[in-house]
Amino acid sequence: MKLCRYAALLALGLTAALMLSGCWSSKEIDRLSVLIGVALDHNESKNASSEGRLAVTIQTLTTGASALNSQSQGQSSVRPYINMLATGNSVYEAIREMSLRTDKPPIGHHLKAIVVSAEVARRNSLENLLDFFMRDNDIRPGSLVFVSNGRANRVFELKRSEEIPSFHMAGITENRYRTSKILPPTTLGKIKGDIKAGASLLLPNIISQDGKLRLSGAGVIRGKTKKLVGLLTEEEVLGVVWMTGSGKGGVMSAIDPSTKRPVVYEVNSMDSTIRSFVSGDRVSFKVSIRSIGRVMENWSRPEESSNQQFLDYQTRLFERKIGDLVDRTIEKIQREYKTDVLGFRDRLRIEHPRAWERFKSDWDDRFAQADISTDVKIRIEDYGLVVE
Amino acid sequence: MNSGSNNQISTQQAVVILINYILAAGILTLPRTSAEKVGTPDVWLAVLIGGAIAIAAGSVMAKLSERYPGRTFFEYSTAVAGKWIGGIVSLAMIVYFIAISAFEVRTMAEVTCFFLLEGTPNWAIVIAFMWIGIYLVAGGIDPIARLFEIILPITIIIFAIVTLLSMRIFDFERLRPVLGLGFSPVWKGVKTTTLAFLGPEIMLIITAFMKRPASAIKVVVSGVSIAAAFYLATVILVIGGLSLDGARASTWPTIDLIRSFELQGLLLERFDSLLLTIWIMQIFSTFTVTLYAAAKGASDLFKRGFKPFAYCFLPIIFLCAMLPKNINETFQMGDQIGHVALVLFGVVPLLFLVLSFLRRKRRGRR
Amino acid sequence: MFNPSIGEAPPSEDEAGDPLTGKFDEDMAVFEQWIENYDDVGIRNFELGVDSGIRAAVVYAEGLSDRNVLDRQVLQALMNADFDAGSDVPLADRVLRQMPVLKTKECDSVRQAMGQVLIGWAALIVDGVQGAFMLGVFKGVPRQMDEPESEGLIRGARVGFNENLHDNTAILRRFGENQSLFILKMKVGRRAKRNVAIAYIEDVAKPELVEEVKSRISRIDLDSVLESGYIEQMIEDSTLSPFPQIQSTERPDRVFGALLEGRVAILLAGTPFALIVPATLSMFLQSPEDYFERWLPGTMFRLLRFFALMVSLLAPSLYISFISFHPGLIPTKLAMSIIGSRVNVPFTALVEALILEVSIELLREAGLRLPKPIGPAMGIVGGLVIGEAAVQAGIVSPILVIVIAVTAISSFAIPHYNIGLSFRMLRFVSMFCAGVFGLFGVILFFLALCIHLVNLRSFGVPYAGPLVSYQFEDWKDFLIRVPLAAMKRRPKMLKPKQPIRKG
Repeated sequence: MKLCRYAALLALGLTAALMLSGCWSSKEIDRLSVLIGVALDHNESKNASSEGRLAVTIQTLTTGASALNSQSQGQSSVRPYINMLATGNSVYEAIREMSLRTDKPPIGHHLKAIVVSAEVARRNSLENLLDFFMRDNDIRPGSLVFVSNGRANRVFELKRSEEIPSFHMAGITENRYRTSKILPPTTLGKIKGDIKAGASLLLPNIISQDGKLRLSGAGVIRGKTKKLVGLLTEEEVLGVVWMTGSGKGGVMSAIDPSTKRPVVYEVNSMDSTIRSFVSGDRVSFKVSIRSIGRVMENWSRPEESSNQQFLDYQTRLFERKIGDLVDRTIEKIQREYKTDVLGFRDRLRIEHPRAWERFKSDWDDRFAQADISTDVKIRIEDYGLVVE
Repeated sequence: MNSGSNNQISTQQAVVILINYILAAGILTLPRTSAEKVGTPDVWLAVLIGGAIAIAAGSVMAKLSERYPGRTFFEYSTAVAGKWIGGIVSLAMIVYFIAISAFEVRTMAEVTCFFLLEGTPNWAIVIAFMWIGIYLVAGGIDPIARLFEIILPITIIIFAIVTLLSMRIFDFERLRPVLGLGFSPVWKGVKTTTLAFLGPEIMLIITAFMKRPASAIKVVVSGVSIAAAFYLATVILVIGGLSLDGARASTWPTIDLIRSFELQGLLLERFDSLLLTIWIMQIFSTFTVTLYAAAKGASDLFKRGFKPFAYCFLPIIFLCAMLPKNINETFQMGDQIGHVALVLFGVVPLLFLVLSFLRRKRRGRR
Repeated sequence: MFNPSIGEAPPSEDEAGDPLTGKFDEDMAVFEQWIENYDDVGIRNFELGVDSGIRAAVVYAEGLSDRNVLDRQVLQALMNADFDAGSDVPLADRVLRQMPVLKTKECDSVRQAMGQVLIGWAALIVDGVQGAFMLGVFKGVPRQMDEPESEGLIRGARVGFNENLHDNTAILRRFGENQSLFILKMKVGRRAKRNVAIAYIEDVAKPELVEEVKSRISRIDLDSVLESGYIEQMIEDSTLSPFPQIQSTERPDRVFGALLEGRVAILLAGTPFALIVPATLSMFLQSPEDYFERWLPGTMFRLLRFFALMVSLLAPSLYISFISFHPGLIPTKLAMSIIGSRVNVPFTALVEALILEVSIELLREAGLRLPKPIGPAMGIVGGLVIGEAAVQAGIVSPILVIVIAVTAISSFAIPHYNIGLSFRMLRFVSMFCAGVFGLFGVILFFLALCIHLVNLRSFGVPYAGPLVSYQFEDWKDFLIRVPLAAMKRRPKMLKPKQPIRKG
């Protein structure tokens, strides 16, 4: 018994000593570089030293970035971030190639934005491109994914040096309360689910205009091939948002035909209900869009702002405008792109599960032939602080 | 023999032990494994059915143990089924407990290595963990019960916080349609979910220490129900948050769920550290209970002291834990152990119970 | 006859030696020989009565016997009394009748008498009486029973124990007429015996507990017991544990509150620190103020203290684990600040934290030893200046300074000094665990700590009592404090004889 105890204590002592000698995973935070953004481009240079088809740009924080948070007067000439470029056949390969150049290994815990250029997305499956990001243990599913129509790494350069592009991008997507042209955030986690299910999806398109970022439209990714098949304009994205009722705010302006002047409707809330109908092999959908809001700017007939008749007239005006927009958008997506990025598959799955089992293998094509009817109803709650 | 005053546990403590034992690696993997088998969002129904089956099996074991108050299964198995069969079954159970111990420890090492400590070798994590485990087990059933009483409220509180926060990305639509493809997909998942409820077999041992053995069945019912509540919440929130396909594609879906959202501006923006903390504590509780069960079993079976067995089993468990070469083999090991458990604890106790009734009748006639 | 030879302990005074014969000259000669080496013991010869011719002597110790009492109540009384011969009342009784001294007893050996004289009794030897009268004429060393410095409260009686055992037991009695408050006396120490009083409330405390206390004290085998801390260390359950298993306090209200719960108090003559047995973890986190204030503030401060406890134990280790191991678990902006502030620091987080922690401990100790005027200033100035200078020199990062400062402040919020000590030690252990395994290490440390607490018992009562048992009655008083009207039952874990408080 005593011997057992001593043996146990001895073993304990040895293992304790062993463990003190190695702090294997300890890596001080200031010896790491914090990865905040990754841009994937097509490798177009014919340079001998750059092999592989991908040009990966990573954006990391410099240690001076903390100056933004602390009290010191910023030396605005020093940028708080660094972009580094490497090439390779796959994303991880390219990133690891940078270990030849930097003294601080990057960590992906704070990755905010992944930007894929439209070019690369056309040629490569999104599943492949994002595979590393989905697999890595550091990178969190909350990172946002964008496409960029043009060179992706251009969006990583901003004119105003104290702004950090990746944070800026993440920040813009939070403006959904102010405009309806922004899609719900496309996080890595959400995309993972869609990609694995073979669903088509939209990725917001971020571009750089005069050294400033702009969120403009979206890229359409087809579920079957997981490649980019086209882009939607800002107006079309607006239509998508209205159709899916996923907006949290925003404005809709219409031109009053009688006076040819604009009236503006501000959205308080919007909602859309989709119902699916299956008869045999044909599928049809009814979309009901409801919204509550207020008239925020009235150039047309300001003297009649509070007139109930005029309000009804405006209501119908907006309803027509929204209805047209949504119809046009659906038309384009159905006919031109033939992909269901609008979430109709979910409705069918929920409401007609057996039919869904039959259709899901070639859903995008079936969707292109579905009948979709829309119906818009708006309620104007008030007209602000000015009464006539 | 098992009723020293320091060795008695109350009914509440028995429930706590049972809950902590059941909740283990399954919290992290159940959404994926069950979603893979079921294929529809009706996984939660499979969880409920699995829980019911576990209650049934557990009640059989509780009833069996109740009939031999103050003795663990290893002590009365020979009385019920004869020296050889009783001995072999007991031995099989001891091996099972050792295997489960090793599996849980290995899973914990995998997850810890992956999410928390990348560079640390597996064996260091396992050894440190096991030392703390033996510190607890060496004291017998009483400190185990008390420690579990500390761990459980912490687990409940943090689990509640973390799951409530995940409502941000919860979408009820992902859980529909309910029974869209009928009930048959649910049946396919029942085996996986039942295995997640492995734990009531501990009733074969701790009933001997209970102050009131008559409430053993109540212990099983309340324990499994509370564990079922946990699993239910996990499964519903994971599928609601990640969608069925997302859950199927994640190795550790529950952690992915918590990592999917961030609360800006709070002290702790990211909450997966909390989940990992309670999960490691739960694995610790399962590991210590199984180690205790194995050591107690061996000690009762071979009529020797308890502590030497506990210490000797440590290196055995360590070697078993290091056996699988990669994570796939680890999962396979878990599956195999599960299959053994189904027979060992689903069928065998029922047979024993019947035998026990028969024997009593025979003795009664005499 | 006692001849001190080197290295030999004097024989116990219980052994009879040098019996008093009743012959005055012989006895006094023995006494004279005894006090050859005790220059602080004096003998006063006198005659009883005015003219009776009966010789008597008083043997007393300077400073220990009260001179006034001896003068007036012994010498004066006896000298002025009427001791004419020819009465049939025995001389001993006549002496006693004339002597207005409260405490008297008798003694029949010089050794015993000397032993008593050396603690403050005076010996009265009368010619013709066999044996000596021992008179209790102790001189008290009164110290004001002020509120103890280390346990001050905002609301509560400004009373504390002092070094006189009888004053202390008196204060306990002053809490109200309580016939069940039993006080037993024992002696501890072999060479220098001291009085120990055990106090308990008879119909509440478990009899086995009282017996256990008595037996453990009687087993103490030390030369002398200088302070109650000696008793504490000799009777506690586990000497290896970092946690104190016996509570020591200077406040009578704490003691009495504990007695009402069924605990036992041990008072030692010569020290104001009383011991309360058994002690559980919750006791160390409570202050009597919790009860004197209303229940809402009481609850709030309890929770605050518990939080302070957790912070003081785990804050530096969490810092270390997040900085060195898991940078991904902290918010991005915070990570940016930390990186910026740590750029110039050459050490790892563990070393940094150790440097600062050790410095703070040194400052604390230094502050205690310095004379009063300089002490507090040194502490404050030292903390501020050194912290600032260290940051400027690039040895530590400012965030760490804040973490350590918050930790230090939290550890001051713990009401009892000795449990604060335990957690200070444990903090270092947790820092090492964090330094090796990060968050996993902290979790393992926490588990190991809980296991230790769960295994620990104080006189048979589980140490981590209310933390662990789901007996709801005990929870009413642990983290929260329910209104007094709801606290009817005594804590179950002590298994008291009378579970329901009388009111």
